[in-house]
Amino acid sequence: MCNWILHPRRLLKIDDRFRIGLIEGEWTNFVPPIQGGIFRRAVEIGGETKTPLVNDNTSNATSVTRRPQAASCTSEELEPELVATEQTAVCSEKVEGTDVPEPQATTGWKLEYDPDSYTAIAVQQAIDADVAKYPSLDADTQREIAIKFRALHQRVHDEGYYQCTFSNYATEIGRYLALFGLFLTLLHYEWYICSAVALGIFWQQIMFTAHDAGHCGITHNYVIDSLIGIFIGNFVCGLSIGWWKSSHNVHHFVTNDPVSPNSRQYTSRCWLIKYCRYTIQTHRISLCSLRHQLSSAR
Amino acid sequence: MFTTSPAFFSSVKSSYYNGFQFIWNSVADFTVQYQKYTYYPIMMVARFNLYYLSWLHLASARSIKRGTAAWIRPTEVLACLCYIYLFFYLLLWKTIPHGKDAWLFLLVSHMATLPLQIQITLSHWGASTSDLGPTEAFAQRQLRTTVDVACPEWLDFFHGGLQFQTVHHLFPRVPRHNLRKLSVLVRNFCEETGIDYQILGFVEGNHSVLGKLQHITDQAKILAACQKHMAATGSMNLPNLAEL
Repeated sequence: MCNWILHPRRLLKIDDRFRIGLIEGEWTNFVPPIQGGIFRRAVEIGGETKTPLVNDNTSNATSVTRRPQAASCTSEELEPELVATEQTAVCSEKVEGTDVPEPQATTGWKLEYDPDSYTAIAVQQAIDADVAKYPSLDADTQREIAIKFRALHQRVHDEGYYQCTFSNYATEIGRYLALFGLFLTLLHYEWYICSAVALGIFWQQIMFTAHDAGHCGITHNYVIDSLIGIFIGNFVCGLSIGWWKSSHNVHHFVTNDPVSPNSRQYTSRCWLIKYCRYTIQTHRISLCSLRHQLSSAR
Repeated sequence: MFTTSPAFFSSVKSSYYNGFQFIWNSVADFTVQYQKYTYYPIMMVARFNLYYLSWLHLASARSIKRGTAAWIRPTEVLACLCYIYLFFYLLLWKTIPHGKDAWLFLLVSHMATLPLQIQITLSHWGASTSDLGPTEAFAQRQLRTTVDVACPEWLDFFHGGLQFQTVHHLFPRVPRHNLRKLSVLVRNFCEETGIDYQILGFVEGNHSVLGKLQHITDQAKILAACQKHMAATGSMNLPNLAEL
């Protein structure tokens, strides 16, 4: 995951103090267990006993299948079952002008799908469409994208895009005050509906600044930006900035993932902890031995 | 309320809301048929749901109680209580005449935030919801699942920086007033790597979201047809799809 995008360098330095090892060579991501990644003990597959767990399904780069969480079948499992069904109904008609899902364009789609397999096919089709449209998912192509993105981030940092120009916020504040003044004036003259509209637009506008503060994007200082966030989010708009940050962080982390949804999608800390634990375990760095070393050093 | 991905057809469990289960039941069967039409009305009252979620969060174990950020929760609770006192008590109860005026004020002020609610869904609901697995680079995933809203520079204030949603997702900590300039670099990056930079006009974007909602409705109809057919006939013969 792109830690260096989500956190300032100052924090990443603190992170380094907790570093217990370095991976040599190229890193390949694993499917975390919560998404159906299968891990086995090294002894079970006859490997070295030093490795506590080994990931079985290291990135199947070329064939992307939906994760088994939402339905019990992947497309590979599905195919033979479907082929085995003899009475295949061929249909080229469309339902009200939209595309009828066609798992195999040549044979048409079949009506004997149960909800799970239909869902699996619909999800798989969306994946296939993306795979066709975007650069290849093989490790080399994706690594190249990651390297180019790292270079872009360096440029963003060096060319001062992280510097906030505070005069821009002066303009913002001016607009917010104008809208709030309008709300009070209309209220004073008892134009209640118009006054309510002005207040609504004021809320809509000022929440953008709470969003910036939630990302530590104004002063880049956690305490100051949090106070700005609480003032605008909680005091002015009545909404918890803490709730917003908690769900919004996940939204940025796994954008548009329906299988881990909050109000607008996403994952959990629990997922992260498991993910980290398995990454560490699978790379032959034993936490137990580390703990032992630490205690004997003491 | 709304389904943006066929993955929801088989009930999905949220790993965020403590395993809250999105159960696909008869209510969902009903609402998904009309989701294209309920989209704007529901978005109008979305803010009331946010109050509920806010207090749920403040009461939950998820809000930080220990460490250097422990002061945040009590401060938040205090600020929220002040808001309730000012808005609900002083303004709605004390200032505005009771009855119709007060109710209308409450509704209209909350509905007027509609552009913000629409904006938030615009950036993502129209985009892909597929997961391409762990090899996909962070940058590609963000660009694939996010859409920019085209808008002239003088109108930037209306969208509050969220119109450069893809740039914001690639660099969340970059101040919003720098996003327009930075989007040029991101476009170059997209050209170099062959990733599509998705951008839609405000109206186009709305069409895209409504289209997606309709598409899922259609998929649900097909699904229902399959089930009905199998239950009715027990055979694999083809019903007439034109009747659906």
